[in-house]
Amino acid sequence: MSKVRRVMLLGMLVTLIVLTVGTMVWVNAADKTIQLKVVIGPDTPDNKAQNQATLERIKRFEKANPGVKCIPVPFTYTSRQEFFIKQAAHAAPDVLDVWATECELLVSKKWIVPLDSYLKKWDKYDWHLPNSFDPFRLKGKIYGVPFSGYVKHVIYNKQMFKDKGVPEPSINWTWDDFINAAVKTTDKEKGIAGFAAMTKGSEGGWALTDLIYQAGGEIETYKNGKYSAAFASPEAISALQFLKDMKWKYDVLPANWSNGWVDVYNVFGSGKAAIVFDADWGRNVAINGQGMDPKNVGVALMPKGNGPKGRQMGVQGGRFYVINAFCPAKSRDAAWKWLTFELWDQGNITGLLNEAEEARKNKQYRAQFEYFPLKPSSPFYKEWANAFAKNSDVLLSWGSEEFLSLLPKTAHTEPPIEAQYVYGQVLSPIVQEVLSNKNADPAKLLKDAAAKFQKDYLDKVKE
Amino acid sequence: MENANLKPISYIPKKSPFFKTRKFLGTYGIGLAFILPAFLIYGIFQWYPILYNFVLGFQNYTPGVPADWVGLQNFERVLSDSVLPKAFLNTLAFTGWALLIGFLVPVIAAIAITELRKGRSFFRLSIYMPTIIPAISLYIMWMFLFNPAVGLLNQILQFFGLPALEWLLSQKTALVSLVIMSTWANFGSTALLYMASLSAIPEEYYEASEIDGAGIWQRIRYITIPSLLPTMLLLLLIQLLATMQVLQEPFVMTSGGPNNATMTLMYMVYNYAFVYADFGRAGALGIMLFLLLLGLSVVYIRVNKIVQDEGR
Repeated sequence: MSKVRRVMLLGMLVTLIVLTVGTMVWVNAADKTIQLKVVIGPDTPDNKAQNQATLERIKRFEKANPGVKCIPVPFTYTSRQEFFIKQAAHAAPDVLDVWATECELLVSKKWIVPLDSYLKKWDKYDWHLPNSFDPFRLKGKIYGVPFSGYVKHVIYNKQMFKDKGVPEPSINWTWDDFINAAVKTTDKEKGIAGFAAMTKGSEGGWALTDLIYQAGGEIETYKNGKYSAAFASPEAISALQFLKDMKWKYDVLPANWSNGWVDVYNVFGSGKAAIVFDADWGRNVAINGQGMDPKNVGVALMPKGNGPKGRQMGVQGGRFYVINAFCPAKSRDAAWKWLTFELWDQGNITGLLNEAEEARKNKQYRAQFEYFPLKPSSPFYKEWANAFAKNSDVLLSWGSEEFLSLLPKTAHTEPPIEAQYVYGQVLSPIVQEVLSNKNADPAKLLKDAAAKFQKDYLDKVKE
Repeated sequence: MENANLKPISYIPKKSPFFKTRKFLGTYGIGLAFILPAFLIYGIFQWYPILYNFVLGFQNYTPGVPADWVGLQNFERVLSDSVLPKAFLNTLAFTGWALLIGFLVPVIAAIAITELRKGRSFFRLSIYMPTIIPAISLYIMWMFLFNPAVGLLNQILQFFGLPALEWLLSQKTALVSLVIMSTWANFGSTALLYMASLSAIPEEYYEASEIDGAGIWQRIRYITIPSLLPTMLLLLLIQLLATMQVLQEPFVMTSGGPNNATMTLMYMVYNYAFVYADFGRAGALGIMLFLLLLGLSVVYIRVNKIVQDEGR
C-alpha cells in the first residue's frame, strides 16, 4: 500500500470516528431536550395577533424553562374530527383546550391524564370557584383546568323592545313574561321573530336542556352508583311542550326555524329576532359580523320555568386545558408548566390589551361575555376588571352588578355521560319533531328516547 | 418479431434470467412509469383505506391506540341502532327519487338540445353552469331558495296561487327537496355525456330516416334511444352507486333533520367515526353498505345482460 493511500485511509477512518462520536453527542443532547407540542391558531388573518402573542409566550416560556423546546401545532378543538385524526398520527398537541362536555369521551378513550398531583401543588388552585372543575371531575379524579366559561343567559334587542313598548326583562322574569315579550316583538309581516331558538344539529338538543333545567328537570341523575336518564320527567315534558307552543300556539319562532349556532346570531344581528339565548361568543357574530350596535344588546337572566320546580337556569360550560396522554412521561412536568404558564397572570392581561388594540385597529369590538371560573376575590379578577374599564371603547362588557352576582346561581353543568350524543342524537331529533309535526306528543317522544338512551348507554356505564 | 426498441439490451443472452424482465420493461417501462404516480395515489388514499375498512369493522379502534379484535360486535351494534332503519329507507328513497328524476332529466335534456336547430351551444353551456358552482355556495344558495318565508320557490308557487311548502323544514318534503337540488346541480355533467354519445351516432341514420319520412319522435324512438342505450345503462349504474352514498347535501343543508328525515347511511358512517370516535361501528356499516352496493351492481349487471340477450 502506497504512503498516499495509507494517509487517505487513515484520514477516512478519523473522519468516520469524529462523525460517529459527534452524532452520538448530538443525539444525546437532543434526547435531553424536552420537546413539547403546543397549540397555535390556524394561520389565518383573524388569528394574526393571537398567534403572534402565542409565539412570544413560547419565547418567554423557553427562556424560563431551559431544556424545553416548544413546537407550535396549528390546531383548534372546534370539531372532534381534526383531533381524532391528529391523535391517530400522534400529532395532536401535548396540551390542548377542549369543550366542557368532553371529559367522559377523552377519559374513556384514555386520551388525557389526571392532574390531581399537579393541582395539589398549584398555588392558584384556590383562586377557582369550587364547582368550576366539576365538568372535568370523573370517578374522583380531575382531568382538566378551566380557563374560560359561560353560563347561558338571554340577550335581547333593546331597540325592538322599546319600539314595541315591551318592558325590558326584570331580574326574576318568568316563562310567562318571556313569551309575552316574544309575542309582542314578533312581526311576521316584516319577518321578525320574537325568539330564535337553536334547533339544528347538536345545538338543538343543547338548547332544549336550558328549558328543561328551567322547568326544574334534569338530563341525567346519579344515585347509588348508577346513572339514570331523567329527561322523561313531567318537568322535561313541560319544557318540550313550551318549545312546541312557541311554534304552534304563539308562533314566535322564525319562519325558517331550522337554525344552528351561527344562524341564530345572524338572525339576531340582522334584526330578524328580538330574543336569543347566548353563552359568551354568540353576540360577537351579531355585533362584528352583522354590524349590530352593541348598545342595543341587553342581557337578562334565563326566565324561570313554570310549575312548582321552576327556576332560572342555563347551561354552564366552557373550555378546559388538558394534557394529552400521548405526551411522553418525561415531558409531562413541562406540559403542566406550559399549561399554567402565565395563566391568571400578567400574560393574560397583555393578551387582552393586544386584543383591544387589534379590535381598535380593525374598527371592531371584542364582543365576548366574560365569565371566569375564578372567585371575585382572586387578585387576577381585579386586574382584569381594571383592563376592561380602561379600554371600554372596544372591550365590551354587559350586565348590572345584580345580574353578575346572580348569574352563577343560575348555572347548571352539562350531562356527565355522552353529553354530545344526548344533544345531537337524542334530543335534537325530538326538538325537530315537535317543530315540524303539530301532532307530535312530547311525553311519548321523551319517554321513548329516555328508555332507549338508558338501555343503550347509561346501563353500560361502569363505575 | 423482434422489437427494434430492444437494441440496448441485445447484449444480454436470451437465456439470462433477466431477459424477460428487461424485455418487459423495455416495452412497457415508460407506460408503467406514467401510471405509477396515479397508482400510488390511488393505492394510498383510496384502495388502502377501502381494504383497511374490512379490518376496522371487526376491531375496537381508538385513534393512536392499538386496536382490539371484537368479532361481530360492531355489526350487532349497528343493527341494533334505532336510526338504521330510517337511514336505510331514506337512502333508498333518495336513490329512487334521484334515479327517477336525475336519470330521466339529463336524457331528455340531451336529446332536446341535440334536436335543436339553433341555440344549441347556449343551452349546452346553460345546463353545465351549475356543475361549476362550488358545492358549499350551491347549498347555501338553495337554502335561500327553499326558505319558506322569503324563498324564491315559494314565491313562484304563490304567484300561481299554490300553497307554500315547508321544503327542508317538513319531514315529508325535506328529502325530495334535496333530490331536486342535487338533480339541478348535477344533471348538466350527465347530460354532457349523453350529448357526447349522441354526437357519435352517424348522421346518415338520421338522413336516411328523414328521406323515409320519419318524424322527430320516430327518430328519437328508433335511432337515438337505441344508440344511447349502452351509455344510459352504464350511467344508471354509476348514478345508483353515487346516490346510495349521499352525504354532502344532508350534511350541509339539514344536518340529517328534521328528526332524521334526511339521515342517510353514509351520514351515519360519518357520525360514528368523526363525531363519536366509534370507528369500529363506522367500519362495520361501511362493509354492510359495500356489500349492499356490490349485490345491487351484480343484480343490475345480470339483469342487464339477460335483457340484452333477449333483445338479440
